[in-house]
Amino acid sequence: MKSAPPETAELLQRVRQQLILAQVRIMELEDARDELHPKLATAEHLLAQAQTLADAKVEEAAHLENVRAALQLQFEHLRHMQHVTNEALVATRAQLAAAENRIEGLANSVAASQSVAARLAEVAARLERELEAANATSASRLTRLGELDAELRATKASRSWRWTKWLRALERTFSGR
Amino acid sequence: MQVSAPLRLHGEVDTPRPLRAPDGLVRLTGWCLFAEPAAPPPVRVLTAAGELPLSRRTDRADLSARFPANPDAARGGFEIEGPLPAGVHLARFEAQLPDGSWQLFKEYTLAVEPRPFAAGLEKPGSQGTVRERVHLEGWALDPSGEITGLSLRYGHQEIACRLGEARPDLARQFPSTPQAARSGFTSATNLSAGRGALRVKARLATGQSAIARTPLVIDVPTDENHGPEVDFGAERIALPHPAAVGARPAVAPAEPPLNLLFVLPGSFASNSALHVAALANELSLAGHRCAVAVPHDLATLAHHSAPAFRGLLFAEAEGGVTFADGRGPDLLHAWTSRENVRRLAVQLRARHGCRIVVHLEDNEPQLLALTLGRSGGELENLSAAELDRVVPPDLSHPRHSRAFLAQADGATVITDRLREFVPAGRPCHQLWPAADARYFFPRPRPAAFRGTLDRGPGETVLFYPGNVHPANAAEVRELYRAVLLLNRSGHPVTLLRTGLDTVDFLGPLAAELAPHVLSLGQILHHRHLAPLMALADIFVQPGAADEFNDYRFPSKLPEFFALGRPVVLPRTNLGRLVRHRHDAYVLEQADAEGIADAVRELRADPALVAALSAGAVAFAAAHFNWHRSAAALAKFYRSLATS
Repeated sequence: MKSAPPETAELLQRVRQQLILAQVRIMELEDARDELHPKLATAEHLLAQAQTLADAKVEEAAHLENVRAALQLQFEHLRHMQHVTNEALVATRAQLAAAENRIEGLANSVAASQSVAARLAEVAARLERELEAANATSASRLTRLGELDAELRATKASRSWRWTKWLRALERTFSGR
Repeated sequence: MQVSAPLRLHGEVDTPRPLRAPDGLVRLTGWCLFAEPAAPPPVRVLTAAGELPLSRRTDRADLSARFPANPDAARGGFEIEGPLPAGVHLARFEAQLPDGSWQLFKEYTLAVEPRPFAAGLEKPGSQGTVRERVHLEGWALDPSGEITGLSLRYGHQEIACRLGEARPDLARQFPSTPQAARSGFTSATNLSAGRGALRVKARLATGQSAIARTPLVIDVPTDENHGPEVDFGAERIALPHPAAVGARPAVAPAEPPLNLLFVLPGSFASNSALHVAALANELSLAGHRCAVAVPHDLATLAHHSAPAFRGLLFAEAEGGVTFADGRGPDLLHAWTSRENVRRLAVQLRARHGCRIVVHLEDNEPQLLALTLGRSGGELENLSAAELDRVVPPDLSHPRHSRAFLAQADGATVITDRLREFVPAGRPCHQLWPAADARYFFPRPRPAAFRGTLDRGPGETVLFYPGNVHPANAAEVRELYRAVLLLNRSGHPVTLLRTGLDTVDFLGPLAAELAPHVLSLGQILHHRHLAPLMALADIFVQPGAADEFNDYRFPSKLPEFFALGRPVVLPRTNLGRLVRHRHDAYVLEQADAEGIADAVRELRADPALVAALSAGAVAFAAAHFNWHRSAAALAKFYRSLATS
């Protein structure tokens, strides 16, 4: 093999060495690039995920704020309703008290009426009893009256009564009746 | 007095969400109107960082149908544009009611990016192609702060610029950016030869850099350093490094999973770490929980691609190792019996009561002797105190390591010969290394790149990856000597070398070898070795059968075989198992002469090259597979756990 001048050979040798080392450096840089690309993509993806999550939370917060506002309105309404109800309750309580007073008065009246009624009942019972006694007396008297009536009709139906008819007519004539 | 009914406001933002302002400028569209007859109200965007008013009304014919009671509904569209400070803002979209108050109708987040560094070229033009060696002028502005340095980049060139020229026009255009007033620049020199799209690069006060691309193209063909023979428009010849194809085999989940702690004697940059990382990855994928402890340089874990295990320092492990299930390790795999590993293993066994397996991958006594430059017998005769003093923490202590192995629950060995060091009756499993199939697979020789690299036609490229240390210096020297012999004999050979040299093993040969060796130093990422190794025509593992090689398994061998090139290796360790001229080219002694003869023969016999390339791939497929190795190792672990 024909040898080159020493300086040229040395330069050539350095260039050959550097040629390969440059390739090694290129491979290292390509590795670094290839390592960084997925890391960058991952970071981008993570940021996008974080933003998406934050946006969702912001949206949730806005929704919750709407819900809170609606609840606040409901609360205000309920508070108003409570006030109205309280007023109605107070009025009703007053009415109730008045009614209770009236009930008490009526109860007293009822009690008095009941007392009168009791007394009337006693009178009625006594009258009932008296009526019953009078009825009994009347019945016995009616019975007696019947008997007497029967006796009278028997008497009047008798021959003696009829045979003495003329005598009684004479008597009435003379007695002036 | 007559009270009118309140107007009902409706509105929406049409800009796709989530809302983004990618360059600091907000652009938003939407619509907003009243249901009742009334003109569309003014709209604004309100954020804590600022407010943007309505920019313009737009026609929205579709709204007339939705709001028939409002004759002005068709003018309900709006556009809002303007700058906002960078950040994520809560943007309130509000409309002004007839009484002057503002009412919210939408609220969204808005992410605003910082306004970017911007630059423009003005002289000799703002676009087109510059072919003359002239000065360039323009402006450069970073809204976030000061620029401490500015340069123009195109092709392989970088031209410094002088920044700070008065630009009242830009001050008016960017009223909120005070530095705009002095944002003019001029290139410090005329353009040099080079070709490419022009970018403006700024160095910022924060220490960061920013780039602004321009529509200008520079195409200066020559200058005082570049003659017309250099074609800047030529296509770059890249070193291809395709990804592996094929799916991983399905992994049955381990039940129950084991907590496995590997303890390495060196950092994750060591060859041992490649093996441990590959096994730990496979075991993790099978459902086991894996951790790997190293004595120093935890940052070297970054050299590994997508580790599926946890890495930790010895200093951390000393306090106990807790796995994801809250328990300690079930089994500690001590990767060698070296002192630093042994001490931590003993400490952790006392703490956790875990089983211990010791992995052997070298003739440790021989390695110690070679490193200390003293014979094994000499070392054995040293007093305990002297031995403790001379044995470094990253080598095995002859006595302590024997005791350690005797107390271990089992052992794994990388070669069969290493069983000699395992106490009789102790469970032992042979564990062959493999190559990372993601990167080491049959790769074609990149002919275009070789055409650039080679000094001439017929050049042979050999590749030797690995460090040179006292234990292998002599045999690596034989490889270098073979390169010299071949070049001397008219066979142009280039040796590509990676790795570090801890000893001077070439001596006076270095100067003569220099034109034939390309030393690339340490390649940080092991995966980058594969495309570089694909440049080789032949792989050579130098050496011969001896007390060092018979016990070891060079970790580069599976990678040699997997790449599909002829492998020349000595008849020791793996060389005893492969078939000469079928699986590999086996030399009784892979010394300089033997290697040179083998290379000559291979270069003269393309059929043999093809056969050995195919044989290497077939041998790798049959014998080197981390998935299978890990499955067998898990079975071994399980047998120890139940014994």
